[in-house]
Amino acid sequence: MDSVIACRDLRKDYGRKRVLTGVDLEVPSGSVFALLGTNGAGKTTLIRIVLGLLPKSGGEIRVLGEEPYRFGPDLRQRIGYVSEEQGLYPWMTVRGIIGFCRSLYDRWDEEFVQRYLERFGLDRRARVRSLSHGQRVKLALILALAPRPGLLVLDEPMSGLDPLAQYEFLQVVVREISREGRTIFFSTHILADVEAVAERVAILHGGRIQACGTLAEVRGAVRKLRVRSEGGPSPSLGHVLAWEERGGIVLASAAGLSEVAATAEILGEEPASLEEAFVYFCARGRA
Amino acid sequence: MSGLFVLAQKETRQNAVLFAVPAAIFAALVFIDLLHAPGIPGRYVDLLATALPVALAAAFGLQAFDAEENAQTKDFLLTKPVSPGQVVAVKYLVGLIALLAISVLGEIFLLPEAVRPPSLADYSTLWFYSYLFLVLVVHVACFAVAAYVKGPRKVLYGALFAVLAAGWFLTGFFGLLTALYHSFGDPGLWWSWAGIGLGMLLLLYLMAFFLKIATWSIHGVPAAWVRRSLLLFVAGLVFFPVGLQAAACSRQPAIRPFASLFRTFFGGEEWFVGTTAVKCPGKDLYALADDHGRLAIAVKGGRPELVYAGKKGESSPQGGKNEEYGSSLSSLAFSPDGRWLTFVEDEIVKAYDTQKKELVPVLQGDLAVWATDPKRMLVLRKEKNGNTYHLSVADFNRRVGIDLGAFDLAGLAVGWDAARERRLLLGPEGLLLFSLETKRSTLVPFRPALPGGLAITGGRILPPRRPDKPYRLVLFALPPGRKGFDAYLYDYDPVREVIEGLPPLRGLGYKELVFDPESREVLGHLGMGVYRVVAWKEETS
Repeated sequence: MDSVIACRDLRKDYGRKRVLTGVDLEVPSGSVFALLGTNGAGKTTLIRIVLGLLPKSGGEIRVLGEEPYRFGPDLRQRIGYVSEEQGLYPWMTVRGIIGFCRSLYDRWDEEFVQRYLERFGLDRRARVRSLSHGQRVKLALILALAPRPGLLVLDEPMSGLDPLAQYEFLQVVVREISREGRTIFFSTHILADVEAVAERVAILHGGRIQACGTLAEVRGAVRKLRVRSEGGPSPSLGHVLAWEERGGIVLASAAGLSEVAATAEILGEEPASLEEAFVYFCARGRA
Repeated sequence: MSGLFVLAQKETRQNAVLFAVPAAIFAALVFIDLLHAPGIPGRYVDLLATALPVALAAAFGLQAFDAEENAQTKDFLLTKPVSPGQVVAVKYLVGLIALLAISVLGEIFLLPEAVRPPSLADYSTLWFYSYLFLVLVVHVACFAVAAYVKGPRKVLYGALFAVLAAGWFLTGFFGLLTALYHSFGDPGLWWSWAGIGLGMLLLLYLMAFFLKIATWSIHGVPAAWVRRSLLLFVAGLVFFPVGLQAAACSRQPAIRPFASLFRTFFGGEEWFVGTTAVKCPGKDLYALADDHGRLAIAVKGGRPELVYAGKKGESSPQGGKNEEYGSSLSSLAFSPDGRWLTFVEDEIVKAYDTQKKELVPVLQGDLAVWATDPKRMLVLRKEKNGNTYHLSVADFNRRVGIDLGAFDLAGLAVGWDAARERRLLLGPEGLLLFSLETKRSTLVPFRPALPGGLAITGGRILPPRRPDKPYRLVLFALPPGRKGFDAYLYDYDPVREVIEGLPPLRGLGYKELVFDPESREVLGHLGMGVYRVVAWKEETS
């Protein structure tokens, strides 16, 4: 399986503060890959390293087979990027910014631009500063996709979007990109986004990847248990969601069920949701 | 290439207002200047025209990243198919072009007299280029500062770094110019442009350094790379000014027109461009006269110290100093004991007493010739017809002139043997001795004779300090089919009355040669008041 993004023990320090403590990650070609993490987990730092906007402090990283920090203009032709802060020039018109971007790329799908400008109701004559937040995100997405990039990187693109805008955004992503076999690497803390489009997911917490795999694998790695224990909640039970006198509901690693069984009686077991798995891995990362 | 053009277009439009405002101010100044608007003295316009480019350089540099920072568009731009280096370079170049366009056009209209081709022979022309360089240095330093420092603090940091960078650049640039002056004297237009070109290279190095630093600010570079690159750059930063100053020092000529070019540039020192020089017998001391009728004395290895400011320094009939330059001084000569320095100014022979620092008019004349007697000097005054000269002896003891009568003196140079009362006339075959007592002439031929086919252009007779020592005779000749000129040298023994040849100097490109009758030391004038020691190789003739 070809990896579009491959990290081995990737580290990043800001002065004395270590933000990424050793990230191991593989993003397969053609996948829709979600990077999950709480605020401050290091998602944006990882994405900025992936884009070559920041140098790494240690470890290995390859994006499209190259060290991203040394990306030349040719490789950047193959990468699209949309961030939470779109960073579009406010003084430009929609037409102007499209023309600006078109001039920088070798390939440009004008038909795609026209189709989605109409669909999103964006007027070419409008100034970027006059667009709403949702319109700017959609325009940024159009600009990122028009060069037909092999890799699309999205940094919390749907933050601040209303549900309708989120839906439209996801529709574009799903239809225009994932169906064409291109790779999408996006960060978010909105789990519904992930379940809607992602095939693979990684949970980043404490500067380290806590879990990585398909959605089913990540969910399946955590079990939601109803347990009874005379000794009360103990660390060996995993992450406790709820507890009453002699029993409660805990999240535990699927591989560590025997350890739970040694200290408590398992009354019931069911697969965890993505949200529960996320909570479990974040809690484990904190511990 | 089109990507860079698009970036440049974007930068221009992004900063259109910033560029338009100073352009409008300059346009208004030009308008005021053309109209000679009442109430606005021309000197204010000149002052503004001079100050604006530096102010603009600082403003353009310091705001270069503001638009990108304010709109948070940096990542959007850097994730496009352009390198961070290109982004920074285009940002810088657009500002630079706007700055140059506004400044140079403004200067052309407002201070046209300042915009001239560079000439090392007229260093005031270097003012414009040095100022232009200074503007560019300020711009690039402020640009680099703006990449790191935000808010009002950047004005302070910009000023600090601009001063440091300007100091670095000017030290190197003046070292470079000094080395050029000392090596070539007056090398002509080509070298003047080459000097500016080399200054440009120096500036490019500084620009590369600051642009690299600015690129690091937006790209963030691994610390090891920064350290390595910084070490290289810092090594270069130290090397250039120190190296160029060292080159200037190591190439120091025997006589130089200034001690510090930097000081001359800022009025702390005045140039003395000697155009004719003579050596003081028995001392490493030279007298020089310049084209402005001034007289100076220089120790070998030093710069000339003014001893007589010529007509310029005299009081004018209207009061105050006469600002017009005097006429050129000629016939510069030291008395054999080195006390008197004589010269001719406006057909009057004058003597400067080097001990009392006084100037004494001697006699009317066109030429003054010393012999071995430090108290007596032969003064020649040209008659109206042909080569006839009226000769007088100026007696410094008795303060009188003794008339010797008129003589026909058709030769290359005139000398005088005071001890034997002989007048000497240098010709292409030898030295013609004329006894002032017996009125008889004797030709002492050169041994060996001058080669045939030479075009003799002039000659000199250099008297010794003592009557029993030889006179040195010099004949200048243009050799056929070769560049430069040759100098044929002989020693005339007045006791034995023989002339013996010395190894000639060939292929000389100097404007003037300064000889010492007692040694083989010869100084050659490279132009611009730079005199270097001429290598005088032994030849077997």
